[in-house]
Amino acid sequence: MAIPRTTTNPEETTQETIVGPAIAIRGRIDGEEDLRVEGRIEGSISLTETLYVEPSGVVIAEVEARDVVVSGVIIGDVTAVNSVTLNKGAKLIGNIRAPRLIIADGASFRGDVTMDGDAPPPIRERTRATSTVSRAAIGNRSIASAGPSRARATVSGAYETRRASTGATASTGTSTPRTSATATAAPTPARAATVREPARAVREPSEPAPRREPVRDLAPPARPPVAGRPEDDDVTLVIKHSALRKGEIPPDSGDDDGTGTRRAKKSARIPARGRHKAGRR
Amino acid sequence: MANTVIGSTIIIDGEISGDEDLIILGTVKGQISLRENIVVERDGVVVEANVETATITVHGSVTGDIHATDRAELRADCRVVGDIHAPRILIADGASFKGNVDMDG
Repeated sequence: MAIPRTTTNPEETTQETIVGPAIAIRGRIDGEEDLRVEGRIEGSISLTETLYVEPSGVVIAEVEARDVVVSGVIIGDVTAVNSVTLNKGAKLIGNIRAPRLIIADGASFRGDVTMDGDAPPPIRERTRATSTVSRAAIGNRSIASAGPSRARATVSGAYETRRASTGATASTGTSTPRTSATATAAPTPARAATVREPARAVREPSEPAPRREPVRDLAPPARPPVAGRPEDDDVTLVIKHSALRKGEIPPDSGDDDGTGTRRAKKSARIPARGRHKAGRR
Repeated sequence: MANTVIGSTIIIDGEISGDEDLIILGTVKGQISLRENIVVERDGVVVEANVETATITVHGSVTGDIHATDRAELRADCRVVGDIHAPRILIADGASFKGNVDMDG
């Protein structure tokens, strides 16, 4: 008589912590009972019992628990001693370590899954997963142009840069077909190398603007004798990628600066009406 | 059970904010800011916390400042160490309290 009651009631008799839908907790939660999240938790969760993330629940945290049942959203790595269940409508971004993983139809998940009990692998896999996340965050465009392996991209990028420099000396900036990134890059080193370099070299110490740095970094490979070490090339490309997007304007502004300093004012160049000489009067 | 319950074995170290009632049976360290009611139950412990709420009812223990926009109730056998700012403050017989009281709001 008492047995069915205890078997039907354990969830009511054993305590349960509820984080309601209008509650946000930021920090660390430790506990030895079930935790039901209908609101939002950021930080970390460590339980000896079951974590339920309800459909309205959002957990942005490292999660450790015996069981994890997700109907809402978890962003972060999940480690379960027993099982992880992703119900319909669940969304999980992060790595899962659990001996049992149940993913229902309609659940969304991105990350690595480890079902054995080894300790070291998750660290490696975590880095891999962060790269996938950042890939998506960066967007498809840059990744597509950079290719799947970053190492290959750096090598080809360095090669392209050197080719661009030779093209610059021959003053045919865009003669060779390149990728869009290098095509836009080609005029910049050309200008930087042939026209702007002397003036820039003089002005460099007084220039505080950090946005010019990429251009300066692009300029050295344009000089023939400088054969950068492979490490330098790698670094150069990384900067170049970041520089080309926001650097679209800085070279032009550099041009404006150049004309401003090189060419005198119009009144100084062109003689006023009725005069033979230009300049101060 | 619609409101939020922090169970007795739970330890939260961090910040809790929101718009609904909170019942604390466990331990909370850090900041609590709610626009509704907080009940710290008999075994509930709030330590090193600044509490901002509409009403708070303490059966357990609170260490830290309490700012209540409406009311603070210290029930029997509770222990509160810290300042209380609230327009209405009730301290029951048997409650233990150390700190400043400010009823000006």
